[in-house]
Amino acid sequence: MTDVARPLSTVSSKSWNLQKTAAPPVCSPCTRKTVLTWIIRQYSMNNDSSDEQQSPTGDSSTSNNESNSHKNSEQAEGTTDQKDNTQDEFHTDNADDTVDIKTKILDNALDFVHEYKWSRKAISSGAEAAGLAGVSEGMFKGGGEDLVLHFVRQSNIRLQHFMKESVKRQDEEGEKMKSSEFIRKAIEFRLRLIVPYMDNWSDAMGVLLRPNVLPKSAEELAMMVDDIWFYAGDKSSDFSWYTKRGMLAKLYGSTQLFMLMDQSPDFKDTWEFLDRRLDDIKNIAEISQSISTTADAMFQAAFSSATILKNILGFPDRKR
Amino acid sequence: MFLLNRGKAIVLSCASISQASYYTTAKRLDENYTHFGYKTVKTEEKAGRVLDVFSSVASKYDMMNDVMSGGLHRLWKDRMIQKLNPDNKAVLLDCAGGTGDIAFRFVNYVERQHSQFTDHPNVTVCDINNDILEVGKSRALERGVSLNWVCSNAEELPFPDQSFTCYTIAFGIRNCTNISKVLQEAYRVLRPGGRFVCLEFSHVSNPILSKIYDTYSFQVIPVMGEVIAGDWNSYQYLVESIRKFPAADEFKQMISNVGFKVVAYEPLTFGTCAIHSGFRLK
Repeated sequence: MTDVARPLSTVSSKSWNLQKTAAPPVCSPCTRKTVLTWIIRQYSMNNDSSDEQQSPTGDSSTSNNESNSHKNSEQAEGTTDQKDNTQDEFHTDNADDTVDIKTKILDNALDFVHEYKWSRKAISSGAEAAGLAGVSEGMFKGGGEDLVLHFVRQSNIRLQHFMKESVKRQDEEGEKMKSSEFIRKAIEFRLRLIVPYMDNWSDAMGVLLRPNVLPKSAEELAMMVDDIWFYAGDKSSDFSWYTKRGMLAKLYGSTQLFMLMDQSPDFKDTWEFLDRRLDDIKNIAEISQSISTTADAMFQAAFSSATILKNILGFPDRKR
Repeated sequence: MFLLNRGKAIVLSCASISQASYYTTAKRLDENYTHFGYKTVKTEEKAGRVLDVFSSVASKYDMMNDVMSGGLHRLWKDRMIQKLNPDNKAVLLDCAGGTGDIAFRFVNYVERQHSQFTDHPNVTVCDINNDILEVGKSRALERGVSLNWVCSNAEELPFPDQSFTCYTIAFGIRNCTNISKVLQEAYRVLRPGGRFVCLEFSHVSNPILSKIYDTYSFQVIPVMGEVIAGDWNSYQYLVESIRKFPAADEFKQMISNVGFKVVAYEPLTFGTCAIHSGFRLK
């Protein structure tokens, strides 16, 4: 998502005050997001470079910079190029039309997931359905991993559109949905996108947790929960920015796991589970709000115990 | 420390001199002349000379490959097919594949991966040299595999447009007079989505290893050629032609220039070989 998509109002006056006093390194949610993305990318870049060192003849499946380029340009501009440059084992070039064709192949490949699971075979069948020779599957060095990531990215983009629309509708109707309600709707929408692939979804979750895929899937998850909070109207600029996103990510993950085992019609149990978890979060939010007013006191309390401990151990504070 | 540095400098300078000496022999070639190893020959002569080289070594060709590369060429070829990962509908054109090394691997791979072809294996082996093709045909008979054998120059393929999904050329493109023309032909005969894969000698970038590699190439290989195949000059040509072949990045650019997309290469065994790959997408 581009920064332009975010209304400027997200940078509230309150956050400016906070920035002066508490001075967190970054202020607006979008800047934070950029920083977060940057950190994740740094991590995944390091990962890629270590892959390169393994062996020049090694299998290339671990480093697939191409899968990055077919991702929606809205989500990460600039940074993808940066990543491509660091990728030297396979000196690939990514033209725009190539990206279109790759997207087309992967879109078609999703139709074959039922038959061949998240595999190279599904991609090669998808390529044939797209009117290309099956061997063009070789463009996707990650094979099934690329397919799963493509599905996740595509679903996140659909979720984004859905949320954009519903925010627009709210603005037109003039009635604001409660943010917890909005989050519930968003998560349900996102989880329902998985339903057609439910029979193979456990495989996909396994793929997303592979060490070489994890940086990318974690990034997607981080982006997704950030989008949800953004459209839910979150304006926090303190530490709760992180906790909120962390909690939502956990909520999404656990609901997804619950859903895997859910046999009830229309996943009724899952949505009940989701509601219960959301109530938990609401309680935490209430508690954390009351805490935030006394945050300084909490910090002092925490540090005082540390000071006492230090004194007991015989390491007095030098500043004294 | 000083000595160490000097030693390093000497090694480096040796390497650079030997590198440079390859190119000093390369006179500025106008279009009527091309290189044949380090020699300069008339363009129309090269194909004939290459034909002679391979005719004279045809019977010992496979054995020499094993001896020279220490069996590594088998692994390189396996890797090439593994990289191509053909599906059971793949239609292969194997250029310069006279002895069928690639074609048989292709058939085996598909049968192993997909249990069988949708039809019978649709593999065409193309080579400019009939003597080498005969070796391949007899081997195919032994194995009981039926392939199509075509004797043709890779620069002018006798096939209609878009008739194959895979194009492979292993250790062959180096010997062609006009590499760009070969690539254009490859592009022409491939269907959209088809893949071009080329296994070819490349350049060792590490200066120390490259010194060792050069010594081996120029001091050992021609001798082996004389002893085993009874032909010094053919193997002298072989090692020279390797040096004349463009570097991996340059070759990659040539592949991109004819229209292939997602062009990439993978160096094998310190860069002695490289597998280049590209896709026709339109």
